[in-house]
Amino acid sequence: MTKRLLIIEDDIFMRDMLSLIVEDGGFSVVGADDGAQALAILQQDQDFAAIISDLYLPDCKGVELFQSVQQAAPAIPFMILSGESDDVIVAEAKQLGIVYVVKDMNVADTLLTTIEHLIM
Amino acid sequence: MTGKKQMLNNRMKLLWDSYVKEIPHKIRAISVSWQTILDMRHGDYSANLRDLIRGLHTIGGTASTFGHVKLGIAAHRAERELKLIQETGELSASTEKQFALCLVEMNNIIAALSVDENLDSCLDVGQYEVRTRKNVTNRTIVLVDDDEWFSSNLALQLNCFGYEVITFNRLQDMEEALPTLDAACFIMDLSFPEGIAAGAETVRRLWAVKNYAIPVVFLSKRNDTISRLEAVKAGSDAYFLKPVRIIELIDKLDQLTSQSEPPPYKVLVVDDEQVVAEYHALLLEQNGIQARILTNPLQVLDAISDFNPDLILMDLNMPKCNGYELSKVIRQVPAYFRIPIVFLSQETDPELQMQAMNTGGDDFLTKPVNPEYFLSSVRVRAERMRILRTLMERDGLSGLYNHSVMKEQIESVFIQAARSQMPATLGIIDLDFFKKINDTYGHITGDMVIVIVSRLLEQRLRCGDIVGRVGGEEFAFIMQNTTPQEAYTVIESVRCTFGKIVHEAPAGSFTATFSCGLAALQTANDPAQWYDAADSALYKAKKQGRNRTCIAQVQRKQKYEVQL
Repeated sequence: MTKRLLIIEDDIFMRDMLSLIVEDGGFSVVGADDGAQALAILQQDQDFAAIISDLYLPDCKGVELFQSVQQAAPAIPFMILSGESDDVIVAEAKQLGIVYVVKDMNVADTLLTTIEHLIM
Repeated sequence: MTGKKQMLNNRMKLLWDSYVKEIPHKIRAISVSWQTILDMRHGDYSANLRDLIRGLHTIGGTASTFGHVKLGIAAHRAERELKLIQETGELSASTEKQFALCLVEMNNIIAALSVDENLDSCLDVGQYEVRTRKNVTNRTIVLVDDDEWFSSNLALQLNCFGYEVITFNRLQDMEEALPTLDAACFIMDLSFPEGIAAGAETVRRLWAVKNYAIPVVFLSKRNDTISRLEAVKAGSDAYFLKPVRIIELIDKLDQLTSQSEPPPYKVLVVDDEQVVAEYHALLLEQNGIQARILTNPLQVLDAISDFNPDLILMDLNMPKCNGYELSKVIRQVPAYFRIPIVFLSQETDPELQMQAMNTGGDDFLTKPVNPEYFLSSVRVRAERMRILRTLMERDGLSGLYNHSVMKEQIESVFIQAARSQMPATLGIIDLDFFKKINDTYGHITGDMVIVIVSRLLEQRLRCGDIVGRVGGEEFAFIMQNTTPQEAYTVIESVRCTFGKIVHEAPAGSFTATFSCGLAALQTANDPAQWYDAADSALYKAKKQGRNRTCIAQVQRKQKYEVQL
């Protein structure tokens, strides 16, 4: 059974790119544009190995989404993947217990390695 | 860098290249939003500003992540200018000027990018083209080489890939026969007893006199510039060094003899006004894009599943539900979340425009559209969807369907065939002693063998058959309306052909074989059982000594057993 990931990212190109990377790593992907849609999906379906969210979403921040997801689906590992590398913002997220990954030039490696750690 | 990683990088680059073409549209959208803010400068534009910052942040982040530092820096600088407005609550003349400069700079960077970066420079690009098997094309090759042993051997190998080969060992013989030859392509040795570039000279002379336009591929032992130059002067389409890597030659021949054009892009036009929809559909059709009109937005999911569009063009204001809501409905279906959606509207309300751009929509065009801009916006996005679909569905090495697509296909064929009571056969192929090939001749050679099997299966199976690579050295194929006995004949011929192909590796040449298991639909009650039945038959073929095909026996619908 292929493991599924929920990716929340409103930029379609970035979502395609991330999907390509994780599908290459053997996962299948369900995508959501924003926090509300992600929560709607989780209400019906929680069969995800992990959730990967952008930091800035159209309707909320990834950090806020994390808090909602904690209540809706506490068992699914949650990770924020963002280009935002501001120390204060990253530290705040980490303090809440979020796995925060900064997008870098090795995004493929970074992402797959982190997912592996997350779901082990 | 490992091969696998290189492959992923190449695929990411392809996707990036298609994305670059969209950036001018995004920058234009940003300019429009910026103009809106300027128009509202004495009112409350904080929401617009916030959205604009997010848009720039996304472009900047994406660019930096994928190694386009300059673009990333420019976008981040533009973002900083806007944040300054946010912080100070003041839109100063200098900020306005700085921001305009940033936009110009981003445009310039993009313009330079599209000149520098050439899709074709990515060597693997050929693997990702959606291969459609041709119907009837001329597959006659004329081979001219004075080395008799070499030419007969090469002819045999080309035969294996479905090419008819007419061989000549002397230039003069070929020249005499030329008027009667109906060749799709010439393969010429460069050197003959007449001279070291006699092959090229002959082609140049004959093609000039007779006004031929037949593609020519040159073969040579010589890798020097002069030899290559001779070939180029003769109008060569390719130059291969001996010993020739057969799969590369086949790829080239396939490309040169192929007459099939890629199918047109498909666009679904959703607009409640028939006349408007027809106008846009006509505009698309006139430019080689296939369009289908849908005037009832509530049928959109059916239309997508039926038409399988590369892009959806959607009116924003429709009575039953607006485009914004409709796009959300579409995006909630996992299989559709990647389809680009372009909104069309008379809407000049910037709030709504921004909302549309920020969720789900890829672009926003105001009616009446500028035809040129409209077409380019549609085309770049449809193209990206096409590339993406290929990347997602196909295995990077073999170009065949990947494991997950194959699984879906097996399920859907099973359901269809079970319903229609038509026969269907599932086959699984596994290369024999593949690990030994990898260990002895190296992984690159191993990969080459994989590609050769893939190409053979693609060429030998019929157009409607579905072929995929489901594991490292494992392939699966589905033949609809075909009994296992019929499939047996086909695959046995592929197996015999494959066994004859000589693989060249630095450590020596060798031949390889595969085993195959076949299962009829009747062996199973569900798709998983069907797969297991074929797999058991494969296991039996392996156990009986490999290099053979076994058929799973149909017992009763409840149970299946392998035929002994």
